[in-house]
Amino acid sequence: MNCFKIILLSGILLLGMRLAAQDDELASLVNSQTDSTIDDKVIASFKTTRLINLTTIEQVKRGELDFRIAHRFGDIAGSAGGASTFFGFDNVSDIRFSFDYGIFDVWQIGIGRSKGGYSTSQVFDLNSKFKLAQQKKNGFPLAISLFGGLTFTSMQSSGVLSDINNFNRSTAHRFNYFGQILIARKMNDQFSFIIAPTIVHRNLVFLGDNNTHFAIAAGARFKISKRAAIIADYYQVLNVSNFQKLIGHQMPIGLGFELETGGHVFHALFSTNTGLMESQFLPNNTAKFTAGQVRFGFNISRVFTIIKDK
Amino acid sequence: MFSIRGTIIIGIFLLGLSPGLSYGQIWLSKNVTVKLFSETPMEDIEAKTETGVAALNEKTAKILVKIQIKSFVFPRKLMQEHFNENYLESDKFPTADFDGIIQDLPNFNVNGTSQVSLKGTLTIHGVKREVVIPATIIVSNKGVIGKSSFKVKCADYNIEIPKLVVKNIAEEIEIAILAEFKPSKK
Repeated sequence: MNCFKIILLSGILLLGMRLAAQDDELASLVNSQTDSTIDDKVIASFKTTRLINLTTIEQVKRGELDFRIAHRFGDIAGSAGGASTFFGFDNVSDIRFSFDYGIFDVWQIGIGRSKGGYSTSQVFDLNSKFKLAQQKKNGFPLAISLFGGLTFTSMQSSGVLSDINNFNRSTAHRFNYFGQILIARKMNDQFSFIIAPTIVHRNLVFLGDNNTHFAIAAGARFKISKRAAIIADYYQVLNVSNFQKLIGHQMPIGLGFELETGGHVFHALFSTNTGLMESQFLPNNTAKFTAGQVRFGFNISRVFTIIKDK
Repeated sequence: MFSIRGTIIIGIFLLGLSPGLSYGQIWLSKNVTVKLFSETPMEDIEAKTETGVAALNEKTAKILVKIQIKSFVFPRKLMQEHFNENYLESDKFPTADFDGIIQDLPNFNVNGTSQVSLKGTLTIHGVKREVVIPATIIVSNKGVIGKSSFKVKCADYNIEIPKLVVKNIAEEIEIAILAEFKPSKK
């Protein structure tokens, strides 16, 4: 009889275990049916399509239009700054308006107009960005995009043969080109960085200057709250020309504070360079961070939805 | 030696051992649709996902639902990013889950519509709360459909709405869920 009792008890025990196990099965069933690729995608490495001077891997999404205003004042200190110019606020040295539109989630095109800096002003630009690789949590560790474009100046030709803005010989001299491979990684929900091998080609340069410059750009964003971040970027020109050495070329540096307010993204920033296009600030910057030749500026981005997703 | 009682006892023992036997059908829904509505005089916002997963045990009436936050699609992409980055923090809390029991679960062999309530734990934004959610279960020859709509207070789940957009985002979000269950093949 005892034998039967043991068998009965173990039978009931096994049944109970099986019922409990079924609820565990429920959990593993739900987990196995959940599409793990959705969560795998790393999003929002940067808040917007640009840091200070450097473009990020973020795209304007399909059907959206990003209207941007970039603004730089004059030098805060140094020979052109100080109290006499109210620390640069008297001088609006740079301004750029731009529209970037997302044709697909992975491809955007943009158009811009900037006041221009150095000896070239009235600068129009066209640019395009294409996303090559998406960073994954459990897969490819980097986000990679291609970015490139051209600038065109509509300023009057000086007519003086030695001038950099003498376009009498060829209209092609009004054009400059730039291209970048943007390689970024979001390390965690606070910190993202970007490295960008860069090429700039100018059709017309001074004697002793290079038509083509190579550079490595680096940038980063560090979130200090859900909606605020510290941003920075830096360009290292690899082939500094004799002409650049002569004029005292400096590497462009930017440091800023990023604030997002629902629909807008604001950057309050300090940067060395005037000129807002790669083909301008990269070869021409002579402002030195340590000499106080730093200017205050801001970027504003507002995204409009042109085509809504269903 | 083998009395009737003995046979039954051994029978139960064998039942406990038998691997293939089912003690309650498991039903699965792989395309749970969830819609979110935020309505304010300033702005109506709607988001949708169709990739939620739910499973229920007919015998124990236990139900599990898992929704991935990143799967929600908003008509404005920027909103979608804000939803993930600023409100639901999907990197930290990738899913919203319900784990509970369906009270008065109807017999799935009889066609009909019945009102039930789901009692259990709702986890959103990493915050667990005990809830009772009203739902409708429709049993037909095609399968079992579960429907529910209820409201969730953002503040209950530590979802902060900044003052600047407080007029654009409702304090209470309306949630509508639709799940079509099919018997799970094991």
